[in-house]
Amino acid sequence: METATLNPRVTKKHNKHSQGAKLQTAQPAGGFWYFPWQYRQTVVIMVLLLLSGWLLGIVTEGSGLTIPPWPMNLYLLIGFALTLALMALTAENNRAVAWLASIPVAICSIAFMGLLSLIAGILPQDPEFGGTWVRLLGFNYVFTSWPFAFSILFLLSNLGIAAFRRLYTFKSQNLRFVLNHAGLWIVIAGGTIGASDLQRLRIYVNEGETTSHAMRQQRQAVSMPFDITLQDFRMELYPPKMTFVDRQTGSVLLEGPAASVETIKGASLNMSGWQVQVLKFLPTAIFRNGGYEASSEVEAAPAAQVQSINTYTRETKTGWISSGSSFARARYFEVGHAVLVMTTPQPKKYQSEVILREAGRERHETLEVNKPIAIAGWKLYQLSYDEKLGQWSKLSIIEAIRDPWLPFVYLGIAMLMLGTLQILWSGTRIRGVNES
Amino acid sequence: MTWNIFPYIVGGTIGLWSAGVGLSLFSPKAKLANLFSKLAYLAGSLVVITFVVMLWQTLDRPPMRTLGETRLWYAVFLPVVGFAVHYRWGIKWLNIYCVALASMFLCINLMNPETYDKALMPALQSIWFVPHVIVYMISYALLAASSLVGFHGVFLSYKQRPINGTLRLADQIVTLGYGFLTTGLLFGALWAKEAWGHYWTWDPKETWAFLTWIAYLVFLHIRHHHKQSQKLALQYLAFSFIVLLVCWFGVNYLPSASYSVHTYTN
Repeated sequence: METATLNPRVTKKHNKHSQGAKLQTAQPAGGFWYFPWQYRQTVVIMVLLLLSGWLLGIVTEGSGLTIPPWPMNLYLLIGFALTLALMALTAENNRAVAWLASIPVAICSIAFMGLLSLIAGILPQDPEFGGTWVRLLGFNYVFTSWPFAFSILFLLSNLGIAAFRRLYTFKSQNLRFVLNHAGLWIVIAGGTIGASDLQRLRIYVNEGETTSHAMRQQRQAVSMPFDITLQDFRMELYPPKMTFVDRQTGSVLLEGPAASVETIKGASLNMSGWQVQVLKFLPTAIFRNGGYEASSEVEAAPAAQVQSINTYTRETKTGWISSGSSFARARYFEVGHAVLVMTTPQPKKYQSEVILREAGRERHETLEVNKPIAIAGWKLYQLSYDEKLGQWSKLSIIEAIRDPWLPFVYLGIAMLMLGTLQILWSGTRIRGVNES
Repeated sequence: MTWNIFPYIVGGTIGLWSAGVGLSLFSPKAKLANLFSKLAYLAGSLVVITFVVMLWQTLDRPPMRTLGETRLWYAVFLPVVGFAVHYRWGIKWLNIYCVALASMFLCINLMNPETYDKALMPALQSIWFVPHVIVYMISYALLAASSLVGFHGVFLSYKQRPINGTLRLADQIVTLGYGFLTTGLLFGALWAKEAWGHYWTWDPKETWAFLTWIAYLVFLHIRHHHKQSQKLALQYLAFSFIVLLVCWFGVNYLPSASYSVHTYTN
């Protein structure tokens, strides 16, 4: 246990040897705010930060923190890192700095961030959500609120000074510490300060058309350093499912894995006293003369000819079901007190065949979900299509993303990964109380 | 059709793995039994790996597009990681858990042949899917075990019995579980960049993964720097599992869930 003392040198020396101290604080005789600060002082400072963050949020009417764009954010980051590096040099003699790099601050700042994240993990992060108090305190935009910005600043100061201190007295057994702490610092700092340079734009392009423009929030057109021609947009669908619903309430009648079945030829579905079977499935069909015919018109929707069998009377009945679409009505099939319905088919795969032109060079590429394509510092992602038209869409919506800070963040991720591999290889370094 | 021989593959693999588990239960001094145990594990894995290679050749593409194919990779890699951790750290139960989980995935596959050619939804068709899930499964197993150790320690200290040994076990398991958790988180970030365009968007599932991660991060810091606070550490460890459970199952029931890209059902 620590004992109270007024002599700073003795206190410091004593602290060094009290690594195994219990998680509680001793009050120095000189009063609450005399160094060394422990958990109590840290918690008070944290609460003050939280309150001032809320106050700032109320005063600025929820505008949150705005990070300046390139190159100001780079200067800020360098300035911040240099400050931390200098502070780390003085940590031996300056007890405020020693406190900022201490374990109480580490644990409290993580907990601070954790509490705010917990709110964000429970409440929807949506500007439309919540009443007056939720909005005033920023509970519906936690990650861009002032308290969260303070928590990041608090954590980064702690992490940064601690990492620099280990770096100055570098030994090979410090490698794991530096990789994990500096790696995390780089990821958080780079991701936060680089957020102002992250651009997410949308390119809307129709089949056969070429464009070199992207839209920022559907309003402002931005000229891109390349142009893109959509040759073909294609979509594959899962077979639609069929299920029984109550004729009056429209709620699904069956539960569990046997509640619905993919509508393919030969598939069958059972309900007490009834069995239905798919006689014919048409992926794209239109209704004509009392039945469905295969068609590739825009009005076409999936349809199936089904037969119901009453398992007691063996009485059979034949009819059609269809999921319908934006242009065609759905069709149901009555079975006893229920109706058989077909659900809207879900997309299995969609892709755009595109030609990209950049500085006189031409590339033929296929854009697909999970397979972005890099061009001129941008990454292109298959995002969406005309959802009203679904598989008949001639429009492809492509997201263009530019994140100049990505290499920096990936450097941090690589360091964390290496540090983690070392953790997995060498295991715990926590020694028992009586070992050292 | 390669899938036609799948029942024999499952039978062979699970048979050999069971033999491996059975032989591993002999005392560590029974050298011959241990050797045969390792050989049986290896042979079981070779059977399923051969099947994957054959499937790859028949399909003429990596078998990673359907749910059924994905489960095969779990069966290949879970025992490999389990064995590696067992070999390095002597955690035998993790090896048995991984083999059991792999066998379970093989059986699920066997009982649901329709999943063999049911393509995954576009966002899940990624090379990151399998490593991300495997690493998380192992991490959750270790962390779940660590909170059992935590509860046991809380019980022991209530009975005023020594808890030093329990804590050392907890430290080791949490450290490894935390390592896998970090790996899974980072894999998830790299995958998100490919699938959704950004490595971190504070999606509710991501927020809860972050909360889980910092919960165990705090535990490690408490243990490194407050070695005397033994009881508190064990209570904290037992509690941390609640956060993990929310992240695992609970997220979908929270108000924030409707904004998540991680809810794959409609």
